[in-house]
Amino acid sequence: MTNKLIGQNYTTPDLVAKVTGQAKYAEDYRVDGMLFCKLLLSPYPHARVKRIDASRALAIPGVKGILTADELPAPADVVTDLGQRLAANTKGEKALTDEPVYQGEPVLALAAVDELTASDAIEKIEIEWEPLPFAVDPLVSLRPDGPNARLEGNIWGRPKPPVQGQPVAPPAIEELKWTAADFAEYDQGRLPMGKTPDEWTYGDVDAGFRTAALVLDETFVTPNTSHQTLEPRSAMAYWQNGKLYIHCSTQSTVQTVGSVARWLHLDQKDIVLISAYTGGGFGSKATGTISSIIPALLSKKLNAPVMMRIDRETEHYIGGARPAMHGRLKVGFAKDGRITAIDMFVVNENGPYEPVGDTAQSGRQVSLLFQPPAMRWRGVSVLTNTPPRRAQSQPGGMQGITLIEPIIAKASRKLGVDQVAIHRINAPEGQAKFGPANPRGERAFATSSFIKQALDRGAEQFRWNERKAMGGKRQGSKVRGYGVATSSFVAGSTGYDGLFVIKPDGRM
Amino acid sequence: MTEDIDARFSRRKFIQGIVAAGTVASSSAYLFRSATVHGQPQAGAVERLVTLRVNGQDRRVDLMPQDTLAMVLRYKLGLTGTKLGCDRAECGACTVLIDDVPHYSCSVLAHRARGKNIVTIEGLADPASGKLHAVQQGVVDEQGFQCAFCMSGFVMATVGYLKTNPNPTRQELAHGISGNLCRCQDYDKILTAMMRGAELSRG
Repeated sequence: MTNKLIGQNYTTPDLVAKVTGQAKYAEDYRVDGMLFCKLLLSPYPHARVKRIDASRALAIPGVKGILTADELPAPADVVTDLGQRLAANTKGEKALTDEPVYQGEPVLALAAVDELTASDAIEKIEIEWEPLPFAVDPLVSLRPDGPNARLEGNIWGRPKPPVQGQPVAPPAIEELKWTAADFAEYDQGRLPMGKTPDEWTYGDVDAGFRTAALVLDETFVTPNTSHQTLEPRSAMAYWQNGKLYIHCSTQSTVQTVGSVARWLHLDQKDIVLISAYTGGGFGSKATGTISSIIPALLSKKLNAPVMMRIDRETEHYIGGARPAMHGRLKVGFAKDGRITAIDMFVVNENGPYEPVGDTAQSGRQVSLLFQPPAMRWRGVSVLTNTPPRRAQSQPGGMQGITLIEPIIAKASRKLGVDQVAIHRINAPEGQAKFGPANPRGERAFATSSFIKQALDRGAEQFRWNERKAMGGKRQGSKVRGYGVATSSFVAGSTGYDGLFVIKPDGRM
Repeated sequence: MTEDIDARFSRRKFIQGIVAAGTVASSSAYLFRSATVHGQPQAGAVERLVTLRVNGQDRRVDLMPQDTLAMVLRYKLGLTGTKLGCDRAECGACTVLIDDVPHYSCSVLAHRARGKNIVTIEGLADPASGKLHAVQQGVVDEQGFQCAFCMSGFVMATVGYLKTNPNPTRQELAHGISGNLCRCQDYDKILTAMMRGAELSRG
């Protein structure tokens, strides 16, 4: 395999189909009698639907029917790759809801003979709303009198310890507020550091700071970054001989079959999922998109194929975004640039639904990339009435890197240590350990790491020494700066993607 | 011909047409069949069976006044190689050639393309031999693009640009196709592929 591909010219099997327009993405399929559905989106960041009157919409010729939240199958338990059963999280994201928790959240779906009729009909639906308190800024929500994003609170509580023979209980939503005294630092431009539900430490952090030649304490905020896949997450579905045929856009067909089976309470063998090409995912389409069950349910209800074309505006709302992270890092450096200790504190903007993994990953990735001999990490992910947050290329690590790299650059200037050199002296090597020890006292480790070699080769190819001399100098209307950063990526999960064909003669 | 179309499809008449056609007009929009499939045509219906010249063929198509060229290509003519990324003239994924000039087909009314020569990604390769267009071959040679949802638009924009400047510098071509977005941010590789296409075009 390696001899055939690596170092050789070849044409990937999808390329000619793509460049001739023959490649079919989800919205490119057509079925006879296909209806079109449109979504009614919440105009409020948090509200309760008190009454729906769809009579005027349903009276329009060509309108075939609607689907509301109460017609959805109940959230089902999750069985992990390891066979562990996780009890359904009833507070997680749904395809449709009668308590929208972000502006633009789908509330109901309507199908008609064409999209224009569906759009017209959506405007004729009358909804009586009860607006509810909302929070779009995690720090506002943490204030003593701050609003909560959810009726039950503003953070996900820690998971309860598993009980033998029972499904693992989902985390509960709890309330966390900091004191006015905690917030005193906010007005000085520093991230307040109240109590957090999660914390870990390894090494002697205090000693690390005592022996440091330079200690920097900086606050940064990373932005929410929308995925904006160029292909919106459109889906088309129909039923045939008891099986669901669903055309959708996903990064992993096998994980999405599992999701669709769970969302619709179907056996996986009764799902034919077609996703031959995907127009970008960046993490937001890894396990499918829950709204893709809407055309499946409407199709069953109306006995006709249903196309749900997601337009760009709807994609803005439902497509997801990498969560913004508010971070404060105190970093100690020796004279040669070697880090002596890191104290990292993060407040993550969680969005309204499932806890995102970015919060915890931020600390582990900083620990991996800079190998501090001592580190403390504290973090909280605060629920917000903002569009759902989803993993995006290097989830958590990207924010951690964005938070620490300006501090590394500043230390480089203050200590007079070159930026490549300061990354090199702190870089992981070999089976580098990172993060906190587990209950058995073992720390996770990389199987190998060649960051030092990568920095050397990168500096050479970039002509680092030559180009950094040009940094900060005005050339015409521009001043260019030069900098160095390292990154890592967490990958690997159980599963498979692809197709094995075993021929009648037994050959693959 | 062009003036005639412009006169008959003024903005005012366009809006009047939609109002007059009411739900009948809408009930066949985006479908690639005539309105009669969904019931008998009603009085006041605006039905316009017109001919569009697409990829060298005359295609008869039932157009509503509000139909965009992108929707007609995708939903009435089965040419789904033209992609809808934003449907509002931002991303360029729907770029097609109209009389050799690249246009965002999401923002062109299909009626305005009557009597003109429309070329989509499906019409680039030689229909008889299947031989790829030089710009398509450039993509294959350089493995340009990742998810490729933007690819048809980039290829059509490049084909159109090369008709005005067959021997561009990399910077000129970058500017020439700057109306197209790639969310995978694969611009460098795309430009390499398009430059290879330009080179192959010159033979």
